[in-house]
Order: sequence, then structure tokens, then C-alpha cells
Amino acid sequence: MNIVIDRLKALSAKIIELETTILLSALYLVGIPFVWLLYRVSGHRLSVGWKPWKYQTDTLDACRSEASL
Amino acid sequence: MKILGISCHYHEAAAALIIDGKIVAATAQERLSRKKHDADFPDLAINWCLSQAHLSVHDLDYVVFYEKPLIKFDRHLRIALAFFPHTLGWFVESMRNSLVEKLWIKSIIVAKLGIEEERVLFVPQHLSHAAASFYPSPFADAAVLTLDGVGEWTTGTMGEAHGHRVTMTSELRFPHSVGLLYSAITAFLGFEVNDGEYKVMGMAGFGKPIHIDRVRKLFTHHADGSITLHLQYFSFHRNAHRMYTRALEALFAGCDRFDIAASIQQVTEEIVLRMADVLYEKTKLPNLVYGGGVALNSVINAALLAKTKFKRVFIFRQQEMMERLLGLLCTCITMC
Repeated sequence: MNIVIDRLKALSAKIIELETTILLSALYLVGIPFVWLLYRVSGHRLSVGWKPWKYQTDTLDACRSEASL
Repeated sequence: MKILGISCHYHEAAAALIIDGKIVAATAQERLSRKKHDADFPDLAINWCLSQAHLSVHDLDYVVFYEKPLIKFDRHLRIALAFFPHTLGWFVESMRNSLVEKLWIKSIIVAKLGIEEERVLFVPQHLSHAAASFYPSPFADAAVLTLDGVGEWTTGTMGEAHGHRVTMTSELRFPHSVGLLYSAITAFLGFEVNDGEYKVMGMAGFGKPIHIDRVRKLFTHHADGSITLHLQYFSFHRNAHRMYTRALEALFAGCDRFDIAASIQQVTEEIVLRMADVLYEKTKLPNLVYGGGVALNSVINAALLAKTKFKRVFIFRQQEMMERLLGLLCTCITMC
């Protein structure tokens, strides 16, 4: 019985993984192209060379943030 | 002041505990779970650290995570956009990882440890490297250099440290990374990334650097010490399982592996030494503190002392993840 349950659990995990892959792939193929166009039009480029350090790290509040810049 | 540092979900998970500025305990989860490179939430390591000080979680003032998860997520999104449409597989994998656990690290810490959200802090990864290099050092003033594969966006930093204050001034950003350049060659030579780099360094001693011209084709080296990787040779920015492209394979086709190792070692040394020279010219400080994954390359470290104008060099002697952890704890102590 336990073997059957374990196999069912493994199967359901694989199905969830497959579903996630399909959903994320669909998001990428359908959604990303529009954002990519905006990204290109905006002229955004990846940074090259030394750039000023811009993280705020001087206060505890800055450290409480998961994204402080 | 009791502060616990945590790292997980990348490299080896680990925990460290500092009480009133003194390192009380630090260990990697893999030492206790007996799983090599265990990246799971470090519950065993946390319990061990707390037991060393006879503390419970509720005695802690702060729990600190080693990086800013949302900035890392921002990188994943922007890289997916920048290299569209070549990033499908990479996007699916990175989003799955991010959405399942990496983005929710604050909630995971709060839930697993049972502490309030306000007591959970986040420190940028390269500041952790810098702090771990400077605060344990014997220097009152020092120039700061950190070089790594990649933190949130950052792959290297320059800065200064005076008294109790570390000030980062400039950063090099993903995908242009000295660490990832070295790791890509490590992967090409058949070793595991984030594990086999030391083997490449060791191999270098048995080869001749006769392929440095080929290695130099992989990047442009600028006068300010920074590098720009030629991305046609690399795939780490769009493939979670492969570091390099067929163009790199073709570049080194037929070359002896030991000679390739010797060549990447020599070129990496040139890069680091030029960065150090630039940093010295900027700061004119006689002391250098140096951290990050690239600082585990002890052959280059010896050259830093012998071939640059820095009179003294301090490098934190611990594995990279522990270095980050202790650094973020030191950073928090200066603010609390």
C-alpha cells in the first residue's frame, strides 16, 4: 500500500512540475515578447564596466528591505 | 547583541552566530546533514549554532539573510528579457526556483524560526564579502576589492574601509564576471562549477600558459580594470545547465587541458592584478582587503602581495559562504 501511495505522490509531483513548465513556457512565449519590445524601445542595455555602487546599506531600515536600492 | 546569519538555496547552506561582536559559532549544513553542497534551509546548522551558545531563537536580536532576494529576481527577469528568445529553458527553471522558495525567504525564515518579520534583515552579498574581509583584518584603513561569480547583480566591487565603516564605491555587474569566466573554463575542463575551480588552479601548475591569446578572445580588458565578456562564448546567462557555447569548444579544440588551465590562471591573475592596481591608484591606501569566491584562488592572492603596490593584504580564511555570513553579521553589528 505504501509503495502505491509513494508512486502516486511521485506521479502527482511530476504532473505539477509538467504543469508549471507548461504555464511558465506559455507566459514566456506569449507575455515576454510584449515586454521585450518595450524593453528594446526603451533602449535599456546591460551595464558594462565599473558603475557607482548604489545599494543603500547604512541603516537597519535599508537592511529590512529585500530590494532596497 | 545576538545576531544569526543564514544562507541557503544556493551553494552550501550555512548558519553563523555572533554575540556582542564575537563569532561564537558557524557551520555549514552539509557538515551536519552529510549531504555534499546541501543548499536546503539550514535548520540543523541553526540549531547547532544556537546550542553552542545555549540560546533559543527567541533570544536573537536579528536574523540576517546573505543577499537581497528581490534584486536577484530582478536580474533573472531582466536577463530573460535581454536575451529573449534564447532564455526559455533558463526562464522556466529560474522562475520555478524563485516562485517556489527564493522569493519567499523572509516568510520561510519567519515560519521556520517563529520570529517577527522586523527582526529579519538582508545584506547585499558583496557588502558581506567586503565586511568579512575588512572587520576581522588588523587594518584601521584599507582598500576593498571583492570578486565573485555573481551576487544579486554584482560580480565585483571596489571600495574603501575606514574605522568601522566599509564604503563601496563601484561595482561590476552581471554577466561580466571574473568568477564566471574562470568557472566557465572549469566546466569546459570537465569539473563541477562552484566546486572544481581549485582543481583548475592546481592543474595550472602542470601546464604551460601557451593559450593565453585564446583566453583573451573571451573578453575585453579595459584600462579601468573592468572586463566585458564576449557572450558568444558563454551560455551561463541563458542556460542553467551549461556555462559555455560551441564557440568556446571550437576555440580550445585540440588544446591540452593542463595548458588551458595554466592559461586561464595567468589571464585571471592579470585581470585581478590590474583591478588591484586601479584600486591602489584610486585610494593610495597601503592595505588591501580582498574577498569573494575569486579570492579563494590562493596563487593569485600571493601575486597580489608580490606584484602590486599594496604593502599588506588581508584575505578572510574561510569557505566563501561562511565568509559571506560572517561578513553580513559584521555589517549588521556596525548598524545596530
